[in-house]
Amino acid sequence: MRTREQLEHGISLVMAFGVGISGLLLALSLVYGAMGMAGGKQLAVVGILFLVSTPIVRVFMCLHHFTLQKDWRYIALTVWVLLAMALGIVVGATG
Amino acid sequence: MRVRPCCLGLEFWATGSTGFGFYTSCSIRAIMDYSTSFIFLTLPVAALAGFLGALLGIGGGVILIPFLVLFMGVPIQYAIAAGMVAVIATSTGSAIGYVRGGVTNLKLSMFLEAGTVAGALIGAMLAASLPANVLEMLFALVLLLCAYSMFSMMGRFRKAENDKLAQHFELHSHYIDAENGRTEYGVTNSVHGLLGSVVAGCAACLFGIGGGVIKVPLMNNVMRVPIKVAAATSNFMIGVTAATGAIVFMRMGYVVPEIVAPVALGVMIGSLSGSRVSKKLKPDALRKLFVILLIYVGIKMALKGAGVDLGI
Repeated sequence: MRTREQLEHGISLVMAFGVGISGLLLALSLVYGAMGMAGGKQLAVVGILFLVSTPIVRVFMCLHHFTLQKDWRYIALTVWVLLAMALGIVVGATG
Repeated sequence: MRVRPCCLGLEFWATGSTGFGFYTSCSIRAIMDYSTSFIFLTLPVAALAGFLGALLGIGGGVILIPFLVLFMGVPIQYAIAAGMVAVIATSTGSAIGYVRGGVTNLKLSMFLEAGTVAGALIGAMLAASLPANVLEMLFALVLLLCAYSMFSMMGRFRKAENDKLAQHFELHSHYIDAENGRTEYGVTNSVHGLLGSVVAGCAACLFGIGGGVIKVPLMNNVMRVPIKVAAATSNFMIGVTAATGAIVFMRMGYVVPEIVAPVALGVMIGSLSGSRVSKKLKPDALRKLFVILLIYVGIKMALKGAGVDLGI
């Protein structure tokens, strides 16, 4: 992921994968739910977690890219974005 | 918390801490608990919302959340949380093509995301602490603003050179399309852009919408980024903002899998088919119809916030 093109390619693959998997899981969970079978909710939870982690993974990929480029301004920005996301867990706990 | 049954006869009982957090288990008890009627009602409407959203270039949340609140009796905080998760799906889904095509400006997105994530944290906290009727009134305001921004045309586009901050962060870039070939562009007013992103992130999490309504004009009109790049970059950024909001809502227990699953899946399906159709369609007539719908839903939502039910 040294070049911009490689990063773009990598990110688009990760996004397609994340949305695809979570779509499948959510669809499966609805089928389970509609048929009254157990485990539908758990499938939905995993699907949702997949969906939420997709953007997080791609921020990490950007971090990797900027680290390879030794682009300190963007390393700092990316670390702040990740930190703010982590802060979300803390903020949510107090609300 | 006991929520009144609504017109479709769905009821919610939520006791104490609800939903699923990272450590708490789900304790919201909805009598539809994965009932087929909730799934079969929500799925097509979510799909329609996603379809319209992709067609008009706006997120589906603007349509979806009023539907969940007004017709399905879902408490607004839960609807906003569901919208937040669904928005990740639509923005990610439609961003793929633009990222691969090199239209999305990855550096600009990271620069502005530094602002949106901060706004997201503020917005999510506000969403959880403001009373439901205040949220409903504010949401109504957003709907009416959406209607206005769709109605008014954007100003004529003028290119700009990088300003100091943009030069420091190397925000300028280029993209290639069939119409104009290679287009180079610079970015100006980057401080305004950064501050505007905080507002956009805050609004996104406050209302469970993508916030493209704010980000696209901000990039296009203020920062002078070409509209194609502005739309693609805004779309790409939404994923990170929405994920931040979703994390906060999850931790607060507003992300209920039974509500989120049909909503997210429906919006996913709808936006996929919508972006296919939008390439062949000129949605001007649809745009006008949609403005009327937005005004109607906006007024209905405002009245609900004020405690008045029109019954239509």
